[in-house]
Amino acid sequence: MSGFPGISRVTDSMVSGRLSGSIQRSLASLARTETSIATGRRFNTLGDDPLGARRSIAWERLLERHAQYGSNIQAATSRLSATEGALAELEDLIVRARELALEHVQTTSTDGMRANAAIEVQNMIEEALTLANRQFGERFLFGGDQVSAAPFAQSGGYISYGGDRSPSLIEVAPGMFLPSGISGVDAFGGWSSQVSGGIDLDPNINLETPVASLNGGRGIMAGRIEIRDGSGAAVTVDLEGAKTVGDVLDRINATGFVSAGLDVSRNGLAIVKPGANISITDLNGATAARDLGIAAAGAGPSLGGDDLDPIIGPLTRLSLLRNGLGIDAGGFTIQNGSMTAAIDLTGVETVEGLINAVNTAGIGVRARIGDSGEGIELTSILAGAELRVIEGSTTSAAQLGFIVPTADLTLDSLHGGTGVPTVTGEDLEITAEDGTTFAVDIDGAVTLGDVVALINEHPGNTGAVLAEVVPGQDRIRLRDQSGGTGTLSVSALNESFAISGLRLDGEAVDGIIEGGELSPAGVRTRSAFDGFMTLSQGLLASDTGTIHTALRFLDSAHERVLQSRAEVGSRLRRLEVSDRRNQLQSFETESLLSQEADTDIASAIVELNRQQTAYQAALRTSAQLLQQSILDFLG
Amino acid sequence: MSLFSSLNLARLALGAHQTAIQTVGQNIANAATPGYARQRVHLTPTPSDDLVYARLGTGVNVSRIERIVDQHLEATLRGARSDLANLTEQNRIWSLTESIFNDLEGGGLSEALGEFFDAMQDLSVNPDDPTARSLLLEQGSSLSSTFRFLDARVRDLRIGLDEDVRGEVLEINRLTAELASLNSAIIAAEDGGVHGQTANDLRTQRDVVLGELAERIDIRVIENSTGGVQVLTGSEMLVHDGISRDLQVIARADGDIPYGEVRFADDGTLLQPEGGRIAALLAGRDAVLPDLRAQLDGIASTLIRGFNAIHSGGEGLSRLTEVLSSNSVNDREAPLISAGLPFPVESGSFVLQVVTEGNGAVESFNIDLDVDSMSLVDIAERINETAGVAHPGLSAVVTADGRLEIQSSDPGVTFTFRDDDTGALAALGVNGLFTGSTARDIDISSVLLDDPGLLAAGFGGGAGDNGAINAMLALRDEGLFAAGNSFEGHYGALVGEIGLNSAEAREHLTNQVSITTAIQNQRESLSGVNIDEEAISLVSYQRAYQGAARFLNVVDRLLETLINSV
Repeated sequence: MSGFPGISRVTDSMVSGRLSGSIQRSLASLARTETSIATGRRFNTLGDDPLGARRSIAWERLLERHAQYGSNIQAATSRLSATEGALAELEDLIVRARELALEHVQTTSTDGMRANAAIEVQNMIEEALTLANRQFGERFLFGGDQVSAAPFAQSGGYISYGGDRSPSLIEVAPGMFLPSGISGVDAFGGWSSQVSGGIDLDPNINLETPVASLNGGRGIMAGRIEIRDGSGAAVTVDLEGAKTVGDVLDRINATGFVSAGLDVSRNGLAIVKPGANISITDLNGATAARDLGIAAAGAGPSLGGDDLDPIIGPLTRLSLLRNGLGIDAGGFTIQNGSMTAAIDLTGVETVEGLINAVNTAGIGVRARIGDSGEGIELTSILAGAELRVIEGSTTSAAQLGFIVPTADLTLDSLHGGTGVPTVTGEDLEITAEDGTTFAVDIDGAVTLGDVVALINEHPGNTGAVLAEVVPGQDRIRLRDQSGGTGTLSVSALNESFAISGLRLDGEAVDGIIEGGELSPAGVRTRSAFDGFMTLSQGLLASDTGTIHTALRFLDSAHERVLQSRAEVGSRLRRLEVSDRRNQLQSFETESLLSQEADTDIASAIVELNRQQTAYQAALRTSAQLLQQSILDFLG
Repeated sequence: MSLFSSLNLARLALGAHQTAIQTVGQNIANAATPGYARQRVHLTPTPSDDLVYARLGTGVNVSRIERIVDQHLEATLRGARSDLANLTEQNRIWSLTESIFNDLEGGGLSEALGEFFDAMQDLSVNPDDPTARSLLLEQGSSLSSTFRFLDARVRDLRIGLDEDVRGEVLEINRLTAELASLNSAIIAAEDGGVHGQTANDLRTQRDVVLGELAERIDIRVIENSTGGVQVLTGSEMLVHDGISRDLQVIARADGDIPYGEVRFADDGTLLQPEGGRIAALLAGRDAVLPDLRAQLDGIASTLIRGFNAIHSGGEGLSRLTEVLSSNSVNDREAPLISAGLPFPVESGSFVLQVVTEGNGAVESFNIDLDVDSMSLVDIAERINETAGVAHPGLSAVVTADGRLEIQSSDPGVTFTFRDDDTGALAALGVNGLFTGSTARDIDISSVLLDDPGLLAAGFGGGAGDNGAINAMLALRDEGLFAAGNSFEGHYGALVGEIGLNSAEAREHLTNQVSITTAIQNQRESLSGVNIDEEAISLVSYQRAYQGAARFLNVVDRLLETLINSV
């Protein structure tokens, strides 16, 4: 048998062909093994191991990403550590200021001592300002995203904050962002609270209202809806990609099956088909009909949708607010510290216009759309100033939610925050002109409205005296309605100072006692700066009331800095955890990559030796075989 | 019977064995000639004389010289060689493709995109840092040039294959012409088989040429009764007896790449080979490489669109005082949806936000866009009617070459864009990060290279706002591509497929080498020359010749005896 399977006759070219073939194959194997040793990689082209190549490329990229996250975490950690340092120093200043305040509020302190303390407090303000404007590298730490200019600055006797509230997010793992800083708002109280509790401006929808703003900003989950008219006929409307309320109505109306329009009074959609029994359902798991408030079964010929509750945006027209009632055109005045600005609403058509009017007034007041999208926030960016809004000729400020209605003023906020003192038991006694007398206990009243109600609904007050809030002013009045011949009067009981607190200590004129101005407090930043500046004023004027107020501000500033330090601490810990996890994953990826792609040098060298031996054997036998022929033996 | 007939016998014997030796010599001479089929002499006794009482032999004759060949085996071998050439070529093409996309070496698209995202991460940590900005733009340029480089290499490879196709066509034409002339020669030599001869060496030559042709293109060979052959490829005739049909190459272009279409010169029929080297070249040139190029373009365009959609709505360290779209429409009056923009657009709106730098007042102008009815000119008009009226220094025009230009003549009035749900800003390339729309023309916007401060890292929150950068970073893991794949998944699949195809081609080639070698060996076993065998034949024919010569000597002596006895 020949070495060629199934073949009995062997020719010279077959033999030489086979020999050169096997030498070629040996050489090729040798070359491959040598390459894998020289490069250290098991495969060098995509075709050597396609799946392995694909995996190793992916892992190389993953390793690079881990390295990058490591560097991001490093940057965030350094930044937060620097932040922590500054906050610790701030806390020291606040604690020292409290000590001074407590010390000099005592009667043992003299004017001279207080004047010296005031100098120390002035220095604290300078120091705190330096801390607040601390930089890390080129970057200001406490400005939020405003990192290239100092966030805090002296401004006409106040300290203004020019930064924002951004937490400066950095990516530390795929899709995972951690804050790398604390803004001046959270650390130093850069913004005051809002001028009043936010109200829902409740805008009406119109055709341009974006679908994404509906349902408090949640929008709708678009999909297909089915409308039936009760006769067995039905149409399907695809709402995918509808951008505005107008789009939605157009698509429904395009079917010609029903009429769709706006129901202004309900602030929703109206679907109408005379004589039909309308049912609307969602198809395929989307919730468009439900989200649009028009999902119904057997609603008759006219389906009224629910309130779509859109949020406001910069382009929302003022005329749509308050369910279409709009905002009065008369303006209002904003007072911030010693500055005032008149905000005129004539010609202002959009929310953006209003915001611009406030923000460009140059009195350190910021207007912005609240985070919930329901109202507009007015805050002060000046520490040391008190922000108040004063109504103009109309009620536009109240409509916008910038003014607390007098009846809702809390007793605690009166007189610049000093409040109204009451005693246990009855505080005052009211005597009407016809002699009707009754005693009122102010305890339990939270607002002025409560006080008015306590007086008017007193069982002893049989309609003799009417207490009322004076419209548009921060005071109350008492009006005699008994029609007697005496004099309306109020007197204190149980040594209570409530009468002077309510400013009802005037004489009755024509049966009316006009209450005095109740001076509700505006809003302040209640920041460390506020505390220091107020303390300095109190010390210089030797006014213990002001020093007490300063203490309250310092307390809230201390609370704030403690919270910030806790926040920074927790963020640093989270970063540490992320770092560990990142490193671990990096190690794992590296070892996977190595297993996949690296040559096992030891076994490769053994293989190389084997192949070299085989190659030499092939060469030797070839040489021998090729030399022999019968021609050597013939004569 | 006469002595002269014995002389004749001797003469015949000498002649026959001389022929046999000559034939052996021919075999030995051609032992190494590729494609040679050994020839064998058939000796038959000449018709015997009738002596009444016996039949007396009269000598030997060469009845024919046979070419030991199995036509079926030859055809099978041709087929195997055709497949081998095809697979060798496929292997070469995949090997070259592998080397273009070899991300294992580094410097590939995967690494370039990885470095781009890394630079973006650095920028997100320090959005205000001018060095980080410049670095990102640099990496973006590097990424763009990697795309362009890959595109150029694929293009070059395609052009290279095209040149190879042209070369093959020339060769095929030469071979078919040679076959035609060989056919004529064989037909003439065999003369219709009248004398029962076969033109052995011409036929061997023709088999060699047929083998060469088979390597270039898949053929079927049918022998005619005249002795000539028909050579067909598919259902088209290439050669018929003395006639051959030429192929020609017609210049065409696929966009910016020229290529040659192969057709028959006489009737313009398109050549559609299924085997041989040319089929592999055509498949590579017309299917594999254009597909790769399209995939590269797809990746580039998806990335450009994704990044630009975010960047156009972002804000850099300073807002814009002028902007010029990097893409143009082909008809400024045509509705935007059919105006030739590289990315799709849909109806919706975008906001043009104008800022008065002095007091910080922000005014938003909603620009509604109905892409089925509004043209680029309409958009410019709409901008002028709204923002342009409130700010007379602000104007929008459509340039002569169909691009949108918005300018503020007052440096204190700047603008940005927001909330584009139409995709128009990305499609037009307004305030984009990248320009272009394919792997061939992708580049970082030169506007940003001139002023890195305009690189939009945020959405207007200030120098430290990294909102836009974070949104762009999120694109890395987003399922932008087919089957919800992210960039890395999609490119990994592409590279993986190239690897698989290459590995497959290698395996097929290795198998085909074995198969072809086995058939080759079978053919050789039948038709090849074994020198040792021929040497033995030589010796025996030599002995016979010597014997015949001896016999002649004896007859000659007999004659001499006879003549001398008279």
